[in-house]
Amino acid sequence: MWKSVLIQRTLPLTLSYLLLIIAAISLDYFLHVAHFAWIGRYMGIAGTVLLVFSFSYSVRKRKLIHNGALKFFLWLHCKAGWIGTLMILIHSGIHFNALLPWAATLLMLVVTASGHVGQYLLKKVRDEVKMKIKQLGLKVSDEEIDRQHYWDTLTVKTLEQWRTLHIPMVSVLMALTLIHILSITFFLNWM
Amino acid sequence: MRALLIVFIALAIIFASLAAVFPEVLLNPGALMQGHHSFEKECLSCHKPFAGATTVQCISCHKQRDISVRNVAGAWLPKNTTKALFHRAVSANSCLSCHTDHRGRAAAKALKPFMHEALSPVQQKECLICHLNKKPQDLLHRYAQGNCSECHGKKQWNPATFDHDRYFRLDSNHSVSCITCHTEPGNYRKYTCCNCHEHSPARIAWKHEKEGILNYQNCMKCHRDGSLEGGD
Repeated sequence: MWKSVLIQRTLPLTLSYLLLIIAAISLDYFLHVAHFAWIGRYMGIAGTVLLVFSFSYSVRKRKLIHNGALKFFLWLHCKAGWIGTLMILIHSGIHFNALLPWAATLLMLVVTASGHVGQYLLKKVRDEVKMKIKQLGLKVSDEEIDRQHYWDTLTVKTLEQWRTLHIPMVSVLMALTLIHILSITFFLNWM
Repeated sequence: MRALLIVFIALAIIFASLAAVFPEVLLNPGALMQGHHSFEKECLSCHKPFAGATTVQCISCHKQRDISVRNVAGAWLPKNTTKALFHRAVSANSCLSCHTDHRGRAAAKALKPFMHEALSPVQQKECLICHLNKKPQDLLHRYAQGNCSECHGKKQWNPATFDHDRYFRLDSNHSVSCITCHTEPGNYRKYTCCNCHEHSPARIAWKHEKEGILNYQNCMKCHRDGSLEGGD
């Protein structure tokens, strides 16, 4: 059982997070060596757009978007969040300067880690739901369980507790990002 | 959801207020150079809103005619004629082509890679104003009089590149060491074609006089490469 938990859930998510950090450091190093560090400025814009795009999952959950499988939107949320975070880490570069953008970067890393924990919890809860349905002797395929009981899994207490941490952190991150973007727009000439 | 929106707006207002009060901590992307140290809280001394740092702000303190002559307080500086003359000749609005800030206390760190194109065409020809100490005092350079760009590129002073083909193309029959033709060490203006078995003075004289050519001392005037026929 511990092997299953470690290999199927914990290890891939831990590797995903470590890969994010290693990829950011490697790409940033390459850009600096190749004298393309200026690309980092534009990575910040692209990364922010991707992170904003990842909110489509929340929009779908609140049924502001009516069509599309929630599972697909979650997949989009995770992938866009991962790539967006990578781009913003490259944008941050190796320069430890102003406090506000660095606070935003650190919090973004915490939020991304929290997102990975959320992925782990969601998979765990969904597996438990599937197991219980099977224990009841109902012959339902995995795909049907995903489709019919996805909303139920989201209301499980563990996930509710996780959300009470994850979403306020996202709010703080959004506020820090907004002030960073406003200050950059105010002080720099982008023309 | 509404509560989170309120938290977001409240935090944004708090962060914006803190950034306005402590810009040197929250927004400053790097320490200003020593001379600008006192402006660390006064971002708008150099930055115009939504326009970035502009040269208008630079020259409001740094008068062009005073650069390297007097500091902004009016005190005389140690004599540095080269630097002073250079800054007087460049365009008055080109400060930011070379200078930046937020790279630490040392002003030398706040220089961008120099682009010769920022200089006027007249200045671009006056290489020795800046590169005087880099001119070697050997025989080769003794003859060079202000036409450095024939050998030295703008991207880097060294290594120099000299296009021999402009004078004589060194084909496979002429792939020899410099000393074979330029027999006077360091003086590359002088050359001789008679230092190999092919071009003996007697044979050259015979071939040219046969064709009625009497002025054949300067071979390169007609022969720009190793082909048999001369150009003119």
